[in-house]
Amino acid sequence: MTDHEDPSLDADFDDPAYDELRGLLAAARLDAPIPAEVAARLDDTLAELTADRRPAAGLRAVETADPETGPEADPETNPETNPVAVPLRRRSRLAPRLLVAAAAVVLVGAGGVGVNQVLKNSADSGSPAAGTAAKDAPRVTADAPEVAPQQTPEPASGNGALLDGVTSSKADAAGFNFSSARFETQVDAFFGSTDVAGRAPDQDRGDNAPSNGGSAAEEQPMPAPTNPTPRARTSDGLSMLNKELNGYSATVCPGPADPGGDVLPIRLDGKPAALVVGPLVDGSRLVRAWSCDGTAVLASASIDR
Amino acid sequence: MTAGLPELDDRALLAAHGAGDPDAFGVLFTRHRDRLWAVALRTTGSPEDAADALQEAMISAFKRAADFRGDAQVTTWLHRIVVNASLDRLRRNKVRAAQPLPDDLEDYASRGAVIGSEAAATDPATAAVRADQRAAVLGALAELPADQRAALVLVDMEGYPVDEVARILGCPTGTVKSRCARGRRRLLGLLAETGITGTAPGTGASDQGTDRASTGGGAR
Repeated sequence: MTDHEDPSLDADFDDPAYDELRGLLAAARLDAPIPAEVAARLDDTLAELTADRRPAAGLRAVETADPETGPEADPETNPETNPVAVPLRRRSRLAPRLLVAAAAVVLVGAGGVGVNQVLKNSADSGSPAAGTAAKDAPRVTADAPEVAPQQTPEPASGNGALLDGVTSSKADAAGFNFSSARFETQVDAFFGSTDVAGRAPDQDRGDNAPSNGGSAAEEQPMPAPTNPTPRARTSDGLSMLNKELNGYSATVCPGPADPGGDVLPIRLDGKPAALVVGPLVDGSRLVRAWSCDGTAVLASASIDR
Repeated sequence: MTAGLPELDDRALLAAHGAGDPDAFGVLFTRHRDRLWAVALRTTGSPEDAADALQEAMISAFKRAADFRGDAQVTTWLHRIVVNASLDRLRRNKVRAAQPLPDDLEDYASRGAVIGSEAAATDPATAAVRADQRAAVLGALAELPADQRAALVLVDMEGYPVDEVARILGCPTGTVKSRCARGRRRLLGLLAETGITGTAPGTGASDQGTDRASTGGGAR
């Protein structure tokens, strides 16, 4: 191998006889700025990368802006209220949906004003941008541009007919659409135990792969709350959102009387349902879709986080 | 963009990125990307490969910011990622290891990659000579093994201290010096063939052979 240290070559390194060559090399240094087309490509890639975490920042803004919780709610600065630290990356995946749901709650709570506007931007599973894998992920059918203009969890395709829903229930507005046929896959993707491509969320997603080389779903990993239940018991802003969702669900689609976990309003096969996220037991938790009257489990899945 | 980010130093930006600031990494990378681009371009010898390598490096740095342990400059860390991505790309394109002169060399030259451009601006003849020299140097540089090329780009072209280059390349300083010495020796031989410069000290055609052997495994 040629890489070992060689004292004679060390001497050559400082040999003034190479000064002219070194001068030529220095003169060949590229002093021009990065070409515009390359800069634009990098900017696009960076935008894709940051889009995944931008909602997380927005979520923290919501948290810290909460007058009831205040700065103490910031899980980054208050470990007492954050017994289970959620990595930012995972939180960022959770954030879009919680924000969407929270935005819907806020909008509906304000008398339904703006729901139409929200639904108008609903995502379409048939969108080419959604990719093939994306159909296995529950669709977020409500965007919240008026509430959080930077926070667009998925590209809006503008299919306003997806939900005929100006008059639909609040669950419509929350917009977590699941399919009973793909429930397990969707739940898995939704909570991030594996992404839609079948990889674990913390698995290296191919750092050497150009960002534009994957499918839309690969580029927009699904949210992955690591411990939604423990976090829901804290008093931070995320918990507040969960509480809002729970309360919201309780008034619209309560599900079982004793859910034994957090309840999220969803739509299953187009109908309102209550998604009950059970506690973590032996490394997994049970996620069930209940009928709103709590009489039937419509779908069930187990996730490993 | 978060107010005040441009005023933060590199470490603070990286820390802000790690803390979830969505704009911090962009500020950091944009701050250094011209130099990173230059290193990638000179290391790969191809604008396309350089763009790919830089993009890959950016993605990797974005995702692996937590790996930065603070025992080096952030720029060193970034350069290391870029150089590694460039070398990876060269390895992937091994069939093209002996890079031809970049097709758009003149294009890139016209973008300002001219040292002493002030004089050149007033003396077209000088500019033409320097353009020829630069083209010859870059062409010869492309003939070198990737590790020697990277060392010369960082040390002689970019002017980084040897110890920092050692950190960038992840090797001892002696190795950096060895790579530079071998690279210069061979480079000089190649340039001598074009009449750009004289022969290397104590070298000639025979040394060319020695050097080729050395790149394959033995020190001179």
